[in-house]
Amino acid sequence: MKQRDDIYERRLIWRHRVGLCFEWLCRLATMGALAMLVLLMGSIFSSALSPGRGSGLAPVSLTEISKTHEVNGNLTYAVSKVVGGDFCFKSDPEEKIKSFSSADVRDGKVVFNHNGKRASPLFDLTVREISPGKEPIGKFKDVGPGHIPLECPVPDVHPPQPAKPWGWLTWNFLTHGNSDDPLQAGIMAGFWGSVWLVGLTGLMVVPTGVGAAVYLEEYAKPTSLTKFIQLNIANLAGVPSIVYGILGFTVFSRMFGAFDKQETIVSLTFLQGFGFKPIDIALPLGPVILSGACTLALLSLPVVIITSQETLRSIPASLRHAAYALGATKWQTIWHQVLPASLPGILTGVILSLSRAIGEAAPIAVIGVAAHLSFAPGRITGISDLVQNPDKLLRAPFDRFTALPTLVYSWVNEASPNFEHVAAAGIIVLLATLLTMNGTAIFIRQRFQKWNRW
Amino acid sequence: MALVKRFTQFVDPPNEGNITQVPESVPTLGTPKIETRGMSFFYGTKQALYDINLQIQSRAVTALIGPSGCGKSTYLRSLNRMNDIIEGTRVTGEVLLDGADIYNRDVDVVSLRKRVGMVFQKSTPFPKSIFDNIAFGPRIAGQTNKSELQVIVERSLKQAALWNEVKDRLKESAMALSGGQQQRLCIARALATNPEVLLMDEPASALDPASTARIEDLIFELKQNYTIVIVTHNMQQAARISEMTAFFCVGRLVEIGQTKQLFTNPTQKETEDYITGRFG
Ligand SMILES: Nc1ncnc2c1ncn2[C@@H]1O[C@H](COP(=O)(O)OP(=O)(O)O)[C@@H](O)[C@H]1O
Ligand SMILES: [Mg+2]
Repeated sequence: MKQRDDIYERRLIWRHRVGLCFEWLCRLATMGALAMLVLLMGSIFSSALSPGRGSGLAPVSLTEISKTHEVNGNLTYAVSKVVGGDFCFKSDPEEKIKSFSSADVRDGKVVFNHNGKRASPLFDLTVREISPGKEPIGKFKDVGPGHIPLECPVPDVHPPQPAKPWGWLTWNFLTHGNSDDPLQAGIMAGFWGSVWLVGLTGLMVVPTGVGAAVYLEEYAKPTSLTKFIQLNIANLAGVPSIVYGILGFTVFSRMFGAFDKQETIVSLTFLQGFGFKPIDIALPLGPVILSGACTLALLSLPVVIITSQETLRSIPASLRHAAYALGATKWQTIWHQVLPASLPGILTGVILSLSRAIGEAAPIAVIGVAAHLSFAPGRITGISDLVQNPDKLLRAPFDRFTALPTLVYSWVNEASPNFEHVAAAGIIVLLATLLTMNGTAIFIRQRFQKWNRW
Repeated sequence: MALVKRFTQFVDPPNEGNITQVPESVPTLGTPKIETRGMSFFYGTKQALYDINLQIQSRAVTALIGPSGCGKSTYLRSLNRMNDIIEGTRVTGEVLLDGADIYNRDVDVVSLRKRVGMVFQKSTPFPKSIFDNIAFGPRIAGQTNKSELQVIVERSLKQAALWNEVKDRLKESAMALSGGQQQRLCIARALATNPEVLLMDEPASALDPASTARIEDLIFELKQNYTIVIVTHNMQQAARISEMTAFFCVGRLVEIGQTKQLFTNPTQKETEDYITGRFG
């Protein structure tokens, strides 16, 4: 009997602790949400007020190139002309430089991102078209600062294509990366980029948003501070998305210019303990998936908080009272009854705001995402590739990417003929993705609503 | 030995002359299960209960009657501290459960509510399966063994006379049950935590006569093992099911006595007015 009392006592203490933890987690989420929103304001002002600093990602010209003039791991070479599809460097054992395409050549220069390795890469550069089986089409040596000639054949210009049953929405279109050639251009990189983007955004926004809503609705006393936070969240739901793009650029992509002078590399060596290759993360992050996802998370956070709060408010008090009367603590009541009962409403809010996020082109463009990429994030080529190199999953968030709306936007702006068809096919893919997401939301809501008939 | 204060005046403070001896007929069987001594209750600054002295006998049904807004629900909720949920409430005086004050600082409200279960006027099943509804109380108390949960669910549903109707659809939503079934489900849910006392706030007022009769039968069964306090507006119901009846008016306890005695021969004029007014 004595022992049972002890056990009961201990259980009481633990229940109390879990409840406290829960409350503090929710409070933390609110504070996190608030901090991000303060950051938003701060970064806009800092961008607006700082005089002529320019973008940290601007390339330096070839004549200036040397180790000290590298910026953020970007090396600049002059290239006479590159026409056609994607190229990669063959003799690049360390894979310091992965690939570039003609779109990367601007004003006769190409900027190589060698993944933040400090030293200038020294290697033979052999250029070939990325498609397997193609012969090398150009060769040059790393000769240090200097002009590197690169001759490439000019491909034929395709005549306008006759209409086909599925038009431009072909299997090739779905499974290939972007290209300068409208017949070769595909949406694969953008699709996977958007999937990663939305997945990470969801991972960030659901716990924070729901936690903040629970804190504001269930725990916070109606003080003037709470009211102020509430008002701010409501206002932020209406802030145009481009403003969030500026935030994302300043905070995540450029990191306030803190690493402008000297890039910093954070090496996640602890991953070796889990049997993965260590991952090097170059700071500032630049236009990688993580930057984009953080930006979109901020964009969707206010809406998720507000819809979750409204759902929590709509749960009848009698449900809570019934749980309390059975001896449930506050957090047990919230966790086991209130949250499950509000799941359909919360999910609806989450999916709606995520489908808004997936279609956003402006903030993604502002953080500096390029359209002309031909690889999926993390260079994942398929399931078997993933099984062999699971560390690619961890690499992907730190990889450059492109997204569906960015691709569509760039195709619409493309001057050469036939790209309008590519853009149309891209829009269909974007719409189909959105409809699938919304359909899933409706399905889930129906499933859960069966149980919730007050 | 029990002294029951009575007030003839509702607004004026009581005076010596109004305190009368309890009639012999009031049973004073052993120690009461619940006793409130000089209990007053406040919603913020608004006082809802004035100096309530009331004893509730073990394994019997005590009915609380009185006009709307007189504080019956408030009194009932103060017996398992459900009023704690409402912001700014305050209790003075003593509420003793088995002789120990439940408003003592070191009392764990959560375990108190497991000992003193509650059934509300509006049936409030959780939007979950019937099984999960019943199992919620034991689960949050730390019972995770599935077969034991099954035993508890079956026992509680049988006690609440619902088992035969739902045994084939325990996994279905509790929201699909009829009103009367939902209320019996709530009773079963309250019984699942093995309480000693069952508080019922007008449990049958929203039900049709047939369902009401079933609930009454159920209460009649349950009082063998539980101490039951029930608020009711239906005086025939109070007369049918309760041993003791307490009459509340404007926040005060006017009269308490054996049900038969209170209905046939009330000592206070207010009680008589109320009873006869209702009986017509
Ligand atoms: N949550 C509350 N806040 C403030 N006053 C309340 C609250 N609940 C009840 N009251 C007041 O307390 C008094 C008693 O109410 P209640 O106990 O519900 O009466 P009854 O159940 O007998 O109809 C009423 O005057 C009512 O207005
Ligand atoms: Mg009431």
